[in-house]
Amino acid sequence: MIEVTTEVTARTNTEPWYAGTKNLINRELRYERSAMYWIQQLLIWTFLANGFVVLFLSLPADMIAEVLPLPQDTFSLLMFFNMLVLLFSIFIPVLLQGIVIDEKLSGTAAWILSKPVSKKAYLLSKLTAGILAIMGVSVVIQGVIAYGIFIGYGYTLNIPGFLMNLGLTGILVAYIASLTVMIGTLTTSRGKVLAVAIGLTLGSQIVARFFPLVLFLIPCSLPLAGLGLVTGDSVLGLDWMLLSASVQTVMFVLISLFVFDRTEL
Amino acid sequence: MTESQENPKESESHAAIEIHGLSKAFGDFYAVKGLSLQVPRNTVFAFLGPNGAGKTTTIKLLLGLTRPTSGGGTILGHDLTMENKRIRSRVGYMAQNQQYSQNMTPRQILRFAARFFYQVDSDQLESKINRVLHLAGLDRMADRKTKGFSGGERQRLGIAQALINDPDLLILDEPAAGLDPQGREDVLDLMQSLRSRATIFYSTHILDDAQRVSDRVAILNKGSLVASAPLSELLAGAEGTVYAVTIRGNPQRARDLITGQPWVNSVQTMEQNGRTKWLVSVRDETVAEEELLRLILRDRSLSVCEFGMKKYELEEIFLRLVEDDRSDN
Repeated sequence: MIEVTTEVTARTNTEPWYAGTKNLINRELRYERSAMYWIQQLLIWTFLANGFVVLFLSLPADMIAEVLPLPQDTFSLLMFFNMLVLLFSIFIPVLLQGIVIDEKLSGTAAWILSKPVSKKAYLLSKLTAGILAIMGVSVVIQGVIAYGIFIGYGYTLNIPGFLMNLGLTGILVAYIASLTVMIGTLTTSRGKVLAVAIGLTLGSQIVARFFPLVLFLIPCSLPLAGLGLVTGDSVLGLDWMLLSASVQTVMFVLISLFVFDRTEL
Repeated sequence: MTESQENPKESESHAAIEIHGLSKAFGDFYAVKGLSLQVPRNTVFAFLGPNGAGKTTTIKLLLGLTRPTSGGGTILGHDLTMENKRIRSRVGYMAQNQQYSQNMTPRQILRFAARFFYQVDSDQLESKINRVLHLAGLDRMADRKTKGFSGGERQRLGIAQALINDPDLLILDEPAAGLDPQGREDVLDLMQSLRSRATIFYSTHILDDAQRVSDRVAILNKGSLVASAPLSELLAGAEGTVYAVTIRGNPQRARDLITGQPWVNSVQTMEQNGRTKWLVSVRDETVAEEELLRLILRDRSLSVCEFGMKKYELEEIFLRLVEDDRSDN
């Protein structure tokens, strides 16, 4: 006969809706992807975002001026944030497309939700962990590297302005991540999540060339609009774009929670 | 003191699971239809049914992972729909073919599961994790990533994580499916050993296993319950006591004699390799025990090759009930 434990260990209070959130976030950040995966991500983001900064800062200034009549550091900074926006539009939907769908289909969501944890805590943990991980790799680390590169080339960036614009970039991460997760709660098709999320974010930037007001509806150009915070130029419409991004992010999260709460696992 | 001891409501309930008229429809299709079930505490309850019978849907309804279309009930004295989180804090669940993160070791998975129930990172918790790993036979692979685990190892891990909260009710979805004979044996032993301290409700299609470890059995077919009874009652058969007799020779005279006895219900005849096999269903077991063989042997031209009380196998009962249900529909 196998011995069975009867010892009583102190139990946690499982009643609040947020019970288990820390445990879930910890799992997402530490175990869902291997260390090698994050190293690869870091290298890719660094190569694509900061590789171009190095390139543009290394080019002769008159060559830059032929493309855009901007000082070399401003042009390089613009390219840095431009590249981040472009990468977010593609990489965030790619990275997060499966965080809800995969676990729904594999039965992991059902397994976790058979523990005393609410659907709200489950979904918010996944979203929070996703945003934190992406912000860490693509905003914080890339920001630090970019700042170092500018210093290395003899340019001093306006630190408060640069930090504020990185903050706006972080809000954009949250915006695209919550949009992707929301679409993930509405469908079980990874393809649809990718198509809608990438279509909206990239499409809006193309459409905005003809109808600039789209930038307020789909505020993917938030870090570009905030570039003036670093350079000292005017930041026209930034407050409205920020409001739009914040309101929509909250809305996407609420819709995700509403839909997921009614999802049968 | 455990939570169940603290809660008077819970201790009042004698049944671990008590559901009434539980239904789940997906559009026009009913996966579970008007299911009423009572699972007494500290029993091993087998939930049988062919593929697609609605077993997994029922389990998901019990855990609140899916909402019932109608009906309800209580689990460990808590309302199925209103107090679902309380239910989940006292239940251990192992899903069918559960996949675990390949970057985690069994110890990390158990720690993750345990943190939903217990205050984190105490020595007591770690020793509990060690005990559960030992219990499930996972000691040697406790710190190996689950990538490359065999089906049997994953199944053990599934049971281990379900046991981490010392559950009052253990719900296992096909716990022995896909295991080799030794693995199955281990899982059944484990279930036997847990019988004294938890109610075990498990779905299976392996009828031998169900017959070996279960106290009670329910059979589900096309979402409806076709039988629910203690195993012994179900194995006794619906016709009362049945004797199986195999004879050689012309059986007609003896058959007429037996059929005419007031304590005989019916005689079913089958021909097998030049021999005749009777299944004699009787009303009075005591009289039959004394008289049946004597009556047959009155015809001296007959020789009796086999005589005994027929023992039904669960598989036989299962197939017959499912078949009857099919023809009724």
